[in-house]
Amino acid sequence: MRRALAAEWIKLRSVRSTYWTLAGVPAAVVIAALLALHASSLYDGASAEAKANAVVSPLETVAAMIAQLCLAVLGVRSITAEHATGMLRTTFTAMPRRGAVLAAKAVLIGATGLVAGLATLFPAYFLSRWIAGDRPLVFNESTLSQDLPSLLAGASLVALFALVGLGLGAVLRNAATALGAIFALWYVLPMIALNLPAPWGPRLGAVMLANLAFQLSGDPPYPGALMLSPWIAAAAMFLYGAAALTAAALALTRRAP
Amino acid sequence: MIEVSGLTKRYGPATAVDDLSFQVRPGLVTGFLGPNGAGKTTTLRLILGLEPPSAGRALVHGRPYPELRDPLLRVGALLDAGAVQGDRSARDHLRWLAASNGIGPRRVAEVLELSGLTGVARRRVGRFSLGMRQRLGIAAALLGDPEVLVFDEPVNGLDPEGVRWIRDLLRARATEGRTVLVSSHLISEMALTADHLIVVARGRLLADTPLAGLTARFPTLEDAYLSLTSGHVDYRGVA
Repeated sequence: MRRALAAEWIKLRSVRSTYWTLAGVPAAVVIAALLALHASSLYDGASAEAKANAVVSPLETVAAMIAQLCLAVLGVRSITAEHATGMLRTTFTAMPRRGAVLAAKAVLIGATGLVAGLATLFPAYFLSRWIAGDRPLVFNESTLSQDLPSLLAGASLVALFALVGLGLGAVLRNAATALGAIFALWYVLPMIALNLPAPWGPRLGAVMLANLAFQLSGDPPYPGALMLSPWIAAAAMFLYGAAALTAAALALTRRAP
Repeated sequence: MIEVSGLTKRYGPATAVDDLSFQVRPGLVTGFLGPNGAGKTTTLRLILGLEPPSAGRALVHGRPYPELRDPLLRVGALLDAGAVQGDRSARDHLRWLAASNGIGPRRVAEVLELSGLTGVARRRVGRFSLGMRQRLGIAAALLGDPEVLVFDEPVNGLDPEGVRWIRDLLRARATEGRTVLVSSHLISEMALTADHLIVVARGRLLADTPLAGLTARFPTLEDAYLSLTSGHVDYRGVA
């Protein structure tokens, strides 16, 4: 397992696409900062009545969504690039224990996802607050200790997206197909859930991957959202990851590379 | 030593490898010959544990390949030189392979030198010609300095200097007492390289014989091969 980790770590660091996808992290922080600037300038030019009613939702959440997508792409590519070239055969000739290869990939992709999530959410959080200054925009009126659970939940969701990307890539074996599935999980299904009538819309929305972090930290993602308890949300997140990796393990061990 | 006994692989109704039994002994270059679609590559994939056999077994060093610990130290294989990720450098490709089996970085430099790739080691593999990829695949197979070598069509795309290099390399390894199994379509190359031949067609064994045994009755190895496989060719062109 230690050798599989060393090999997969070299693989991950030695292709440019890793750095291109991780460039989404600073880009997401910049976008959050620009949104904070925009909101601040709108506030400064608003009437007294509009100022009193100004509400801006947390901007690090927007940055986190970009990071989720980028890290899912990293997860997908870490396996589909090997399928596409046939290098998976070389990998399994060098490391016949396929489960160990998958475990090594999952550890590295998951850890990269967690670090990327933290590196997105915390800078976006502090930067957007610093830019907003003492303007009362609601999002900047809570303390760090109040917001810490949501920041940590958001970072773990970025890691989970990376793992789900790895799992979908291993099962679907094709980058384009897997990215389509990721986009469905990230955007299409949550949008469908939002537009379905109650009770099914809110029920479906509650278990959407993209919404689970909000329930984990107890912050409603949108008005009227059905909220699961943090424990159930954590269990649901675990199930997403376990399902993705179990399916990946079956696909890699049962099918010839 | 490679031991194949009763090896069979079926894909649905099609039988790619049909009750194949042979041994590849140390100290010899064993040529693995057969027409297109004879099941050579499938047999090599089964030996390397990339697919499970439908029946029978293939043992390397007395064990199924997937049970070998740090297999690159025991077996060096080249199946498909194109099967490398193009956006990684040759050196990084060898580095991850070395790390996967606990092989030190010095050996990476050695096999780069051995295969003549030192000058292009930091270039991305996607820019390599087929011959350069072939050299990289051979460098990868030699990484663990293994006792058993399994090469599928190693001279594909190589220049005359490269063909001679492979031939000398395989001969030298066999002389050292290592086990060398090399598949090829190039009969003339086999006549120069192999000591022993295993000929298959439609997944079945046609011949398992010393080179001299085949060539004694025919003017050339090519005539011997064509006579042997004449009734077993699936794809034939017309002159």
